[in-house]
Amino acid sequence: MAPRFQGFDTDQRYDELLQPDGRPRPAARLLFEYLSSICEDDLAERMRAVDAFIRDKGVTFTVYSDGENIDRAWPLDVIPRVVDAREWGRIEAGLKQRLTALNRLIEDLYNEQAVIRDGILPREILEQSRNFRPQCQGLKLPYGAWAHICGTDLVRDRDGTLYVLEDNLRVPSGVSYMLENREVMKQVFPEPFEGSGIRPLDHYPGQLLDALISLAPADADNPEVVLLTPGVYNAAYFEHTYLAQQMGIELVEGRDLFVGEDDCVYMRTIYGPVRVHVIYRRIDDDFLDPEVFRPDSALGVRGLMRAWRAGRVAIANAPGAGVADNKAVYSFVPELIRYYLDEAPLLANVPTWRCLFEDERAYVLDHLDELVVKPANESGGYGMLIGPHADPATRSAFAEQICRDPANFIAQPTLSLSTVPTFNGEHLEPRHVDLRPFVLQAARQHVTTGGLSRVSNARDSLVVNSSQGGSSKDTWVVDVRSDEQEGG
Amino acid sequence: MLSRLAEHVYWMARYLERAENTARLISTGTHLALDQPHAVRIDWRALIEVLGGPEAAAHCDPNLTPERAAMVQLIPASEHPSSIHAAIARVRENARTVRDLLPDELRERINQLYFHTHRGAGTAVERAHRFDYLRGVIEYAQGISGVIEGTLSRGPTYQFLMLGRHLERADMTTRTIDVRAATLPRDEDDHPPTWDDAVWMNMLRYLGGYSQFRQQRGPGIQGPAVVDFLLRDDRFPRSVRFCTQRMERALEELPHPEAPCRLLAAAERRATAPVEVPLDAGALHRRLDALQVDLSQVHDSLGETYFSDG
Repeated sequence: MAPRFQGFDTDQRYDELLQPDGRPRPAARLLFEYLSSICEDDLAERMRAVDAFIRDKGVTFTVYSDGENIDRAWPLDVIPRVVDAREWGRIEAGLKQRLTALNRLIEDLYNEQAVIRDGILPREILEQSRNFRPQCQGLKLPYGAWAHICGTDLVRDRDGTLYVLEDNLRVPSGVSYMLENREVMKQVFPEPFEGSGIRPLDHYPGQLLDALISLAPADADNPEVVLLTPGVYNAAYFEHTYLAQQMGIELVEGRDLFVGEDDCVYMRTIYGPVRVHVIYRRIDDDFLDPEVFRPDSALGVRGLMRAWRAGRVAIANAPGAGVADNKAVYSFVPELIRYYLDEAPLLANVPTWRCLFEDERAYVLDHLDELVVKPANESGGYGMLIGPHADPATRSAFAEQICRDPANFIAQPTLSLSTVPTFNGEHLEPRHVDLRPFVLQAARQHVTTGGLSRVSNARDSLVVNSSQGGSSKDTWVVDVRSDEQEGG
Repeated sequence: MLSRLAEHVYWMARYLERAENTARLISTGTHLALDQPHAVRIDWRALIEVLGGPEAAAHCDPNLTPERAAMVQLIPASEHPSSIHAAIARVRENARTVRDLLPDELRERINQLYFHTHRGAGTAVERAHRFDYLRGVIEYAQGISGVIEGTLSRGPTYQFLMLGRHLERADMTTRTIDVRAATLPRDEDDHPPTWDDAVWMNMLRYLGGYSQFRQQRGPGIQGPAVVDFLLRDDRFPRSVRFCTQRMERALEELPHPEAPCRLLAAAERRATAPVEVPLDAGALHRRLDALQVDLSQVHDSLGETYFSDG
């Protein structure tokens, strides 16, 4: 019998595949028909095949626990997440607009700071930004691009509105799993791909390489591009090897590189020193160059910042790009888009109150029991207050923190993330989902077709991190024929 | 090719060769102990000296039988650098770092070898399980060599594997002869040698060259002929000369090989000098010692040329 959908009969949630009346959304119609034609045992068998395929291929991610790095098989659910190509077009345009504005902001902050002078961004935001790098002041980079690779997290609330949750502008990861998910699904589950109008996404490594090459100094005839990894113990090492291999570039560690007398960067090879023109770094600013940042770092390259400032080598993402990667800056992105581009934002921010402003702070302090409060400079959920789940003592302690350092806090309503049917081994149940597309910005802009979809680990959980038992999905951007209207 | 990766590849081959040789030596020793309990006393302490030097021999637990003490050192002890388990763990570590340079099949087999040694190390000290365990190590290692031969392009990765394998193998052969040479009668000894064909025969068995020696050199096994075979034969793959020639071929495929080639030529000259009859223990020991120094200079030169400072 066909797989049963359980727990979808509620108007309290928005499902990515099913409409409230239980019929599929237009982009998911063919997938839905296919699912109706097979039985649960078939699905269970495919699930086992997916797991086996991933294990044999060695697609892993690393979990750090009890002082040990454990490699685990990457979790992938058999039911894809579907995005209507018409909606995707709007998302893509919105992401390009957003990243253009953010890159303009970064260059502005390291140069004229017009955005502060003109009263758009309060100076306090810059002063408390932990990732502002004085070493970048006065620099203008090719194409005005600082955040060359960005991973932006999108979520949908129960009313169907899609929001940007955050922009990861430093060393975002996950794109390798997006690519592997598609590869695995094509191998193990080819039937639903037939005639479904699913857009391909395997051009990403080529686009990434083109973007990196376009950053090379002008004197490079045949640019040497490398990927700089912290090494095999890093949680994202699988992705580093995957991307280096896909692009056909050297995967290097800090100790493989050195800066010569001529301020050029070289890698140590069996042929002798070979000049490097572009470094795709997967190491945080702090560890890049012991001469300038953390002196105890063994992961970086002494003199790298010197070489970069002299224009002898390009670094992606640029050092200092993280200045725009915090929640306080995030809360101003709609204003930044209007200021730099003179356009209305195409993608919404989650409604955000900024404690820096007195009236917004007053609202936040009055509604702590229903809001989520986030510190500006933390990521990964550190130091957050989930108002509805906190006790009064915790809330009042937080209120004190806010009053002490208002510029460091923002607040948002608690969202009810949309869901997508997920196979739990027996039947299909709704699981909360987010989406991380990746945006490239160098000589040209590109957005991945779809992105990495992550689903929560249990039916009512909002946790989508794979390290906490969440799973992932292949993301299909589907072209819908014009005669199939929403609800038709 | 990055210098660091070349170095990892080289060490991977060295440790794989070391593990396989250790397994072969223990396996042959155990066989002999079973076959000829009275005629031949297996010198387990000498075996440990070959594999780990005198300091390893000094670490042996005096409360155990010599055989058991040797096994505890040579099979499971991950803290003892000459143990099979430690060597295989390093093979795997190096292979992980250079994963992109190796065919998938090779990585799978290395993992299988690691799990085999990991699972069986504890019980292999007992004779009952030892053969299975050692045979597994040898077979996996041979399988890995087969995949290298059959699927790996003859680029720098392959050449560094060859350098690592043959340097380790030549070194092991000199050590094995050296332990035997240490028990040769010395000039000042005026008693007749207690040394006989059986011991030389066992040594050939250790190195897997017994039948081939027989085929090439005919009946009768005398010390000088065996030493000549193990140092100078250019067809037996474990002779020092064969190994140095193989390394020379690898270097020819690599950039600026002049310095290591020069040192390799010196080692080869020493290996191929005629063997004196009758054997003189002191002279033979000095020659083997010098040969080991030659090989370690080749190793250092590889480091300076390709690994450390690019």
